[in-house]
Amino acid sequence: MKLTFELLWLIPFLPLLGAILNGALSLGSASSKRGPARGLVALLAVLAPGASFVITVLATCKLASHTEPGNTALVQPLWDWFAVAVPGFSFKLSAGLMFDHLTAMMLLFVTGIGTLIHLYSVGYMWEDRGFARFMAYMNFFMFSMIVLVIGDSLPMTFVGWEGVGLCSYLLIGFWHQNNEYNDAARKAFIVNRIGDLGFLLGAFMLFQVMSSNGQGSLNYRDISSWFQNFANADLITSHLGQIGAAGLLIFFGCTGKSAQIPLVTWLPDAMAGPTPVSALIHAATMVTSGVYLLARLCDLYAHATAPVLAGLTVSQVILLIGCITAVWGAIAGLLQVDIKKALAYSTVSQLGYMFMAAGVGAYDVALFHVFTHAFFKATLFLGAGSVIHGLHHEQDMRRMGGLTKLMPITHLWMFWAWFSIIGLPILGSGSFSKDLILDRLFDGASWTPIVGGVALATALVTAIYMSRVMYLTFWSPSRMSAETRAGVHESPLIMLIPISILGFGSMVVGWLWAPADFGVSHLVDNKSQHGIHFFNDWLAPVLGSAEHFTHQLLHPKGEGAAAEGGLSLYAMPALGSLAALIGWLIARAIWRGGRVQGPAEGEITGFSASWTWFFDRVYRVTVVIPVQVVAWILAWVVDAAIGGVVAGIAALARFMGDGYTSVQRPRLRSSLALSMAGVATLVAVLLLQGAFAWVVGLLGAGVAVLFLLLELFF
Amino acid sequence: MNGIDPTNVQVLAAVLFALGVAVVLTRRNVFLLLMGVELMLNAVNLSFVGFSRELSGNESLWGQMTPLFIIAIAAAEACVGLAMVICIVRGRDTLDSDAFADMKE
Amino acid sequence: MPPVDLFPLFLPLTLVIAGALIVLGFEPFLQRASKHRLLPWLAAILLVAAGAVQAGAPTGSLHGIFAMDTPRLWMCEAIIISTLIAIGGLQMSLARDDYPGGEAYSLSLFGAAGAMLMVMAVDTLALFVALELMSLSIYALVGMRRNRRESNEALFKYFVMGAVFSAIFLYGAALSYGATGSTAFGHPWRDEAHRGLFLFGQVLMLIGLLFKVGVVPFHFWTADAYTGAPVAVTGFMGAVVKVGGFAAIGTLWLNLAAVASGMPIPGVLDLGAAVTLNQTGKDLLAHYNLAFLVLGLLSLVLGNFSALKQTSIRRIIAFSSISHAGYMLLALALPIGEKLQLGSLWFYVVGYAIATAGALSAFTALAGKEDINDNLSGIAGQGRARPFYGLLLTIFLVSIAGVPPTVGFLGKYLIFQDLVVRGDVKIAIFAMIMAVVGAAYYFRTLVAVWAAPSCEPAKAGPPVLSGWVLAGAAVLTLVLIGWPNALIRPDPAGAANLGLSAPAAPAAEQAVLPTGLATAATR
Repeated sequence: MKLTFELLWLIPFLPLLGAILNGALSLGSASSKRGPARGLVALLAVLAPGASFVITVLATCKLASHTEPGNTALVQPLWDWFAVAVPGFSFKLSAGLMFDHLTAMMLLFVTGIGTLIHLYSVGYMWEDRGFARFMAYMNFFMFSMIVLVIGDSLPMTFVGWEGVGLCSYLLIGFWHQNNEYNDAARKAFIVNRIGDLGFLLGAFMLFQVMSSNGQGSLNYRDISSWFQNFANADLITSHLGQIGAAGLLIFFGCTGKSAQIPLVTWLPDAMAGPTPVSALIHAATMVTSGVYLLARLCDLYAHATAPVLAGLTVSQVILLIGCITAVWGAIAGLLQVDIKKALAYSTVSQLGYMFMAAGVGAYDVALFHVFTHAFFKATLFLGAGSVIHGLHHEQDMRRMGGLTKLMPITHLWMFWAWFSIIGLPILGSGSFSKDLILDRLFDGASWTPIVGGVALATALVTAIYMSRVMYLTFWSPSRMSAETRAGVHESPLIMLIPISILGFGSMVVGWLWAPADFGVSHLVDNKSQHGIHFFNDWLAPVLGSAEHFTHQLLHPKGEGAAAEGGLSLYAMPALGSLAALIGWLIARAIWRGGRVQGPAEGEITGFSASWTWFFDRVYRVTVVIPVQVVAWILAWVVDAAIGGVVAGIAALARFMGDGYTSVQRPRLRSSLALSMAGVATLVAVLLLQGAFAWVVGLLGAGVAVLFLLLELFF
Repeated sequence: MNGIDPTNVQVLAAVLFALGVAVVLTRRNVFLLLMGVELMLNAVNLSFVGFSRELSGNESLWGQMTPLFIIAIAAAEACVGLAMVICIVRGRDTLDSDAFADMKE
Repeated sequence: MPPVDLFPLFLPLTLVIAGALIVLGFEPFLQRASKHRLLPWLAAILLVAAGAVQAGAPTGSLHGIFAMDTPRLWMCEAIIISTLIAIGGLQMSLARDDYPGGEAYSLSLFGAAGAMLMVMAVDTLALFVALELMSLSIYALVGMRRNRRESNEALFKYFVMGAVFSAIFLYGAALSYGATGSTAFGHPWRDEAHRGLFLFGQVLMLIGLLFKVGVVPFHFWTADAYTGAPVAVTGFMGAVVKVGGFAAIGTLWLNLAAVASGMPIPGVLDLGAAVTLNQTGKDLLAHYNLAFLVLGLLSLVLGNFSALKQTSIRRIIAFSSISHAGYMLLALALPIGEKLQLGSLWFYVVGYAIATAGALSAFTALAGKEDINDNLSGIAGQGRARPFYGLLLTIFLVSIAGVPPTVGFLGKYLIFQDLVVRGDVKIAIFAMIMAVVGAAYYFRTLVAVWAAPSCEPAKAGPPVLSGWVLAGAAVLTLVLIGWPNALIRPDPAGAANLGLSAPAAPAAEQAVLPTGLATAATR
């Protein structure tokens, strides 16, 4: 069912307006000494996403007030983009916005957390010369991200997809005086572009499949209804290979945006950007767009049941990739000394969890983890930023320690985010979502419980490396020099407020979906149903059909469904908490004294420094070195020939340029005469039909050329 | 009517027009160029009037009215043209059109 | 087309001309400095008013002499916007040079009025008067710097050639009048004996108009006139003359197509309408089709390759304008099917006009006193010194080059699409290659603009008006891509108003958006 909501366009438009105004302010003040009016910039930058958040809330209220069954959405068609028409094929592309339950959930945290991070950025970047430029980029990022989730079709999403990629590039390289940062920015951009290729090819392939019965469309509602339509069942069966390939290609695009293996290498390097950027883009919002897209196309993935790669279905590929990435990120996180890098690897690992959930068809669980992760990871990043800010841009954990007393508020909320990410129960939202993922993995068919075991072990490693970060930063003796220690200060209020809100959020948002409710829901009302299911009930209109389909495949006889209840509900939380506790104790034993393995000072190199090292090497061997070899061959063997050809083309272009410009006669009489020859030729050709016209035409052209030659040489 | 064959009028107009073109193409004096253009315009006027004799009623009217517009516009064009000649002669001290050829390529 | 009252149809035009007269009247009584402070704003206010009124102009025809419809409305808007941009550029340039007179503002308004009348004209006499109003104003603008030798020379060449081709156009009008008995477009020849005369007249008129838009081999004036004029004027004439000229060419061509196909009662043709062709008409016009393609390709090749060699920005734009005339000419070629519809041409013209006027007006800010920086080495690094204008110049040049996401890209895309649908795939591919060649010199210019600074930043006059206008135009260049259908959709009402007795095409077919679909459907 489609409803209209006239204000929908304002949600993306307001941040765009903010970006334009701030961009204008930044450009306008480029040459002035004082820079732009910071107060105005800050006001615009925070108000724009803030207003979007308010409108999002309004839209969500309107959506929630319609309780008819089925997939309800607020839509706003914007305009007909244009139509492609070549013989035998036509396709109309229109731009529109769609606001359904999935969009509502994504937008609420994108705009909400986004606004808080904007507020934080005001404090963090206030002193920076490029404050207005930074805020313009941030606002433009908000616009792109909103378009990504509110767009009603794959092309619209792609617009946002490219936009966030661009912003990521601009913001990573924000301090562009530093070449290393520029390289990181370029790496992020290029790796993302490789993924985008997959996105586009996948979208085309999907369109082609759907066109086979003339219903080609890239609109999300059309796509899901096409897959849900029983009339298309035979068509789907006969195109399983193509559907799987389309799914795989789009997933490849998602690995680029969400930093999964194999396109993982850019995210750790991306920490070169200012910390709010890491929080907003590389932890809370942009990197989750891959998960969003999988959930958006859940019907496609649910129906792609044929093996496409090494005997695995697309979903199984997603599951495995997610699992490997989660393990890999967690182990890499153990070895970092840079606080932001440690958090970056942690993000990679957590994204792996989300993909694991998506791989077993539990899209709502994946999104729930996206949701809780956004809170606790944003808190962690903002807290890390606060630490970095307080220590005057010190990021090396080997030179930290003992900050608990010096930065009490930052520590308080970092503590709760830590509590959440390692999976301690009740007051940690991460435990709710992570336990759900584990539950779904153990519930799965054939070998998925093994993956579940690996995920559980990874949870243990997660607890170890996150506790390590906390020990090295806060809970160990200070390793700072006396003067550094004297300069440490708690961050300003404008930075602490967002941290506090997000930190508090990370304590409580897990309760939106708590099947293991520890008896809380029974206190409120004595229902027969176990737990709180607000979150998945909310998403059910969008995801329900696909999840039902997957569930039927897994449990064809109806067993396993609704088997939850009683003690088994508490098995996963108990296991998860146990893992967290053990991990914490291990970390406590090792890092309580503040000792760090590896050299005490200086750069760490090699495998233990950058765990993208491995992939960088793989790329080096498979891509860079062959290219260099080819380049070498070209340089030495073909160079002469190529050089000759290039010189020839250049000479030809120059010759042609000379030739054509020699037609341009300086004297009026000459050019007029040439024009008149043209007139005569044209009249003759147009009025005389048949071969005679050609003769006259050639004659006229000949006369003109003759005249030109005479002019030139005599 | 009155013994003048309309075709002859048109032939005369065409010859005049061709003469105008020839003048513009061959003469180098700026004033003669402008005169050549005027000759072409007058040939057109003659052609219009000649056709209006062939036609009748409303159709004939257009052919008589158009030359009035053309004459007025030709006068405006001559104004601009002569002003231009003054400017040019101030800068270059010659009326030879071949001398106004500094812009190359 | 329904008849329309004089006043609402001409209200925008009246405002423009009133602006011209007011500016002209005030000019002698102002101090030299305040001329450039006051007059441009006066002109701009009236232009904005004209633009606002134009947007709501009624569609219809006035006594079969002037007409207004959706494409014409857009083109009039494009002319008004281009003039507004040019006024902003002129203000910057003239105030900086301390130019002694303020007549340029008035002249550009008169030029705009002429171009608007050209767009609206559906009668050869009206078209001629409009053409001359536009041309005479632009002659004076080109020769504005009276003591500059190249300015004089450019004026001389442009003027004499222009006068000769006006005469050719008029002779064509006379012959067509003799053959049809009317000066209006769309009259068939009186009898078979007059068919040859009619076609001869039409060809001469077409040649006169092709000269105005600078198609090879009638392009010789372009390079000199563009280079001799002040930079702001170059943009103005590049934009306005193309709009006026191609509107007239399109009107003539659509009418010719209708007449050649033997459509009995001529009405006033809507420029957005699809004209139905039959085999007779196609045979008759086959050579025209060929001529358009040949001249279009010649213009593409000559314009692009000549531009590659230039170092002066104005000359680059001049040769590039020749190549763009080539693209537009390709858009005129006949369809395989029965419907001739010029939507892609109108879209291209509108986008091109705004971008060209904008590019040269932005360039004015970087060009320095008396446009001294007008070459690739002079402009080096000016974009960094004045990033606002550098950015605007970049947007406009990117649009002219036809790179997404600009309106110029969609224009080229639509034309290529039409060519492909029509079956001229080779020509489309060739035109695309030429577009790539063309991109080379635009990007060469942009590289120079953003290169390391080699000289002091250029001074410019008061930038307020031009800044706002140009920023608006840049936004337009980026967002117009969203509404191509406003121009390429055959207006169903317009098609019904053809006044042709041939059965109107089914409504469903006319609702189909691009020209391509219509032809694909009829195949």
